[in-house]
Parts: sequence; C-alpha cells; structure tokens
Amino acid sequence: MRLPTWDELRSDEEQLDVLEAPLHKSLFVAGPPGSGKTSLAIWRADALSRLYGEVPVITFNRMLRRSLRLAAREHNIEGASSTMHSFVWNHYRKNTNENPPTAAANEYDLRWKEMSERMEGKQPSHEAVVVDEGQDLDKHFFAYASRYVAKTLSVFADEEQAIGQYRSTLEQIKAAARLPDPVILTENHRNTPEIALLAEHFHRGNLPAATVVRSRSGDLPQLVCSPNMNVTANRIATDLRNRASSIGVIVDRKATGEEACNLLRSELPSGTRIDLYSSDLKNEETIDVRKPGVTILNKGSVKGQEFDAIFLLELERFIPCSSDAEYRAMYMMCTRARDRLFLVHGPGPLPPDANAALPSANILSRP
Amino acid sequence: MLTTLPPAIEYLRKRMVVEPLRLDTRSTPNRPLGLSPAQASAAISWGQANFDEPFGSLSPRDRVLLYAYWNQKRHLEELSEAFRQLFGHGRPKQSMIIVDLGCGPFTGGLALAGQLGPEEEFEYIGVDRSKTMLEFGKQLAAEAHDNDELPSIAHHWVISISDIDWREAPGWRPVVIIVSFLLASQSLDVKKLIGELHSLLARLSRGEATVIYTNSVKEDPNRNFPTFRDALLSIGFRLQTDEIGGIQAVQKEYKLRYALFHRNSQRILRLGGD
Repeated sequence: MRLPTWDELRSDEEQLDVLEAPLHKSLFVAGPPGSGKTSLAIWRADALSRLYGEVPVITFNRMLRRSLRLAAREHNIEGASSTMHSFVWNHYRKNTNENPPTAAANEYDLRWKEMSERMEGKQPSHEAVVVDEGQDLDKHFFAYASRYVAKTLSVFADEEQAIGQYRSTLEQIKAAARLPDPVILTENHRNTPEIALLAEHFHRGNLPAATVVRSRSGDLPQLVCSPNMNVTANRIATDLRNRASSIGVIVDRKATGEEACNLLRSELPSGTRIDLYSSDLKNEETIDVRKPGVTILNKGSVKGQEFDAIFLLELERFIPCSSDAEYRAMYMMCTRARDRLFLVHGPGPLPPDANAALPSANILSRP
Repeated sequence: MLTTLPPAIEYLRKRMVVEPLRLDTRSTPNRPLGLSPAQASAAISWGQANFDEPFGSLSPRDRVLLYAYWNQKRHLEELSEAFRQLFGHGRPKQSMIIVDLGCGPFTGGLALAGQLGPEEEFEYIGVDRSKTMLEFGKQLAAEAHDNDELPSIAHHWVISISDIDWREAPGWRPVVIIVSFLLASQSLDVKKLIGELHSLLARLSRGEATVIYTNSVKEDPNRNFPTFRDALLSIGFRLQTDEIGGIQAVQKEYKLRYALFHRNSQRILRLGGD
C-alpha cells in the first residue's frame, strides 16, 4: 500500500491565498477578528499600486484610517487612505464640482440615488480601490464605487463584527459591488485561546470561528466588580506599570471616559501615554494605540483596533444583549484584546439578567 | 515494511478481546468459545452478520467478540498502516474528527489511536448498524482514552449518519472518513450514503476532508466502487490514489484494494445570487 502523506495532500491545497489573487480582478475577503484583514488589505493595495499607481484605501472611521496609515508606514508602503465619507465627498466634488446631496439633518446621510443620477455616464476614475471593514459601509457606497470609482474592488469585511447604522451583509456587498464569492480567512493570530473562547460566546452568524493559532496563556478573561472609578483607574494603572503594554479602555459614556482619563493622568507619572479619543475631538492623528500606554475609546472607535489588554468598563450597559447588533458589538469588543481581557462592572453586583448572559467560570473567571 | 500493531493496542486487544474469550468456559486452547476458525467464520457470516441477533447458542456479544478476535486484527493492521503513511511525517495541527462508517468495534479509532501520541487528541464518530458492535466499540474507546500511552479520544456512537447529534458550530477541523470494507455489504445504498455524508460534512467542519477506502481485492465487493467514486467526485473530492496493494503483517501479507480521496477546505463562502 502506498498512500500520500498528509503534507503531500496539503501541498495540493488550492492557492487561495489573498496575496496571490490576480491583481486585475476584484477580490472579496471575509475574515474573522484577528485574521489579518487589515494587513492583507494594505499588502493588496501595495501590490495594486505598483501596477496602477495610486490606489485609494477606504475604511469606516477616522481611527481605522489612522491605523491603516500607521501600518502602511511600518511596512514602508505608500498609500492614500480615507474614510468612506471623505473619499466619496471628494470624489463626487471632483467629478461634478458640487457637494454631494445629503439629508438636511445629517451630512453623513448621503443621497446615493441622486448622486448616481448626476454621475451617470462617467467612467471609473481609478483602476483599483481597496476597502477595509466593508461591513460597516452603506451598500450604496459599493454600487457607487463599482460604477464610478474603480474598475476592480478588493473588499475586506466581516459582517459578524458590524456595528454601524449603515452596515452591509456580505450578500449585499457582493451584489452591490459585483464581487465574486468571498474567500474566508481561517486563522486567528491575535487572541489567546482563552479570549477567543469568551468572544465566541457572543458570536452570532454563519462564518465558522477561526482557528486560534496562539498557545494557551493560562490567563482567563476576568469579570471585575469595581466599587468606583478610582479603584478601576488604579487597576488599569497597575496593569500598565507591571506590563508596560498597550491598554485599551472601552467606555459607553463620554463622561466615563473623561473621568477615567483624568484619574489615570493623576495616578500615572507625567509622560505616560494616556489618550482619550472621540470622533468630535478628531485627535486620532496624535494617537499611536500600539505604543505602551492607555487609549480610552468607545464602541465605535475601538473597531478594528487591537491592544495587549482590554478593560471593558460599564459592562452592565452592554449586556444582556437584546439584539444581534448588541451581540456583534460584544464579540467585536472582546476580540480587541491580545493577551488580557477584563470585563468591569460596578459599583453594585451585576443584575441577574446581565450575569446570566455571561459564560461559566471556566471561561470567564469571577472574583 | 512490516506492519505491527503498537504495544498499547496489542495490550488493549489482549485485555478486552483475547483474555475474556480465553477465560470463557466454552473455550478450549486455539478454539475461542469452542469454535474452529471455519465455524467462527460461519457464526459471524464473514463479518457481514446481523450482530444483534443470537446465532445458535451464541449471544450477540459472543459474535462481536469472535469478530474482534478473528477479523478485526487484519483491519486494524491495514488501517494502522494507512494512518502510519498518512500521518507519519506530519499531521494536522487541529484535533481531527474521524467518521468511521461501518466502524465495527472501534476499528478505525484504535488504528488511529495507535499512530498518535498520548499528548494528542481526536474526536471519533462510530457508525454501525449493530448496537452490540457499538456497545463493545464504546468500551474499547473508553479503555483507549484512559490508556496513558494513547491519545485523548472523545467518542460518539450511532446506528446511522442521520442520528449524529453534532452541536458544535462548524469550524476548520480536518475530517477523516473511514470506509473500510463497508462497500462489501449487499444492502448498502451508495448514493444515499454519499448524500448523507455530504450533509454531515457541512455540519461538522469547513476544513479539509479525507476519505480512506479499503476493501477486498475481489470484484464483487468493489462492484459499487465506481458509483461511490463518482458520487464523491461530484461533491468536490479528488481521487488521490486508487490501487491494489498489500501490507506485510507479521503472519502473512494481505492484499487489499485501497483508495484515498481528498477535498480542500471550503474557503469560498458561496453566497449565491450570481
């Protein structure tokens, strides 16, 4: 008997790797948290720009745009990245000499149908465009992009982490942007198995959980009951002193973020990096979340970021999840943590329904 | 290369099969339960019996033990050799899911257990129409799981594929399906089998899948092989190997028909709407 070895079978595995996907065709990639979507998006943009010149990279919000720029710089990759809104705004103006029409009450609510009618007959302005975090973009954007922005689109998305009001499913993206079926990324390189298991508890959707590549760390995610913000800030400061790592603090209310920021600044030596980000401060260009220090953000701005440790404050405001959108948010927030994850509530005990929404003590350690 | 069973598997067989038969009051030296090899073969209908029914004075359990004593060893040696070749130089990083169709007394599971180290693990689903066979397989699997020299084994036992109650969400674990001498069965509906296997795979994993087929070299037991092969090809498998060969065991060389099919991870998410 002569059978092939397992490695021989594996070497036959189709080369579906995103890096090897043909550059002249559109590409659709679905990747769970930690699967390296953003890095792949940057490499894709780099490869495309060597062929075509300028290739815009478009993402959901300003913090993500900042991350794209930092990551591109790290890899010595030149590229123009924009939020979807600013890109479309500029693109439309350049083509029509007019501002895009929006709803009277909300400048972010673009009137896509009118825009499309005005753009009728125009040819795509670019050969290729790359879109990251596509699940949080309006499906109408994909239709616009595929008709007027670029001949080919490379879209990276995970609908199971979508939080935005204008989110799109993979089906909607595929149809609107006329993309092929998505290639699924299969490995999670970010989270420890312990964190991935906790995050899975909140996972809703059809994509299989990624295979966790890292080894067990021995640190279970922790549920922390904190009597007040002083104690919480002290705990965060201690973690920073002990590990000198990048810490993300997620809050629901702006006031909570400000309080945490002030307490941490008085607790930690001056010169320690403590950044409070919010979209109205527009201070993302001064923040490098990867450096040791603390970054305080909310649910929207933590999207697509990663930290060595995450402190998710105001837990009782996030659970129990009563809709798929709330499950997706918890899933997305938990998967931001590489090594350590703390779910913080208080001052009182968790309400019974919130407690019941958490996994057992072998997944989430209790005080 | 000479195929021998690992000592831990020999020990397990001795403890669970050979010794109970030797200690049975009906047994005489070289005649387990007092039956000659020919009588024993007849009592188990050459492996094709309905093992849940008594046969003369033999209970269903007696017949299963006779099968394990006379027939299982050869199949163990064949599958051990198959797994040695497949996994001897590299194996999946993730815990495999093994689906053993027509599993008998944990045959494919024992063969694989003998080729993996004590630090490893796999999940085994044994499918066999005989409850008595499954009951004995379960005991062997529990013994193997508790043996310090063998891997950890999670095991499930069902009389048909449709009875598999799989609760885990499909991830990327590799699946290995064993179809050892199953096609020799006269009553098997091959197309239905592959249809059921196809839906089972969708529930188990999007990871890569491998089918190991073994059979007698005779023509009749392989009469359904073309249907089997074409049905597997139609659900995305590739035929990697289809040959007649042998394995050199301690006592004699066995000839067998063997084939290996493989399907890649299902990494394209089919959304439809094209």
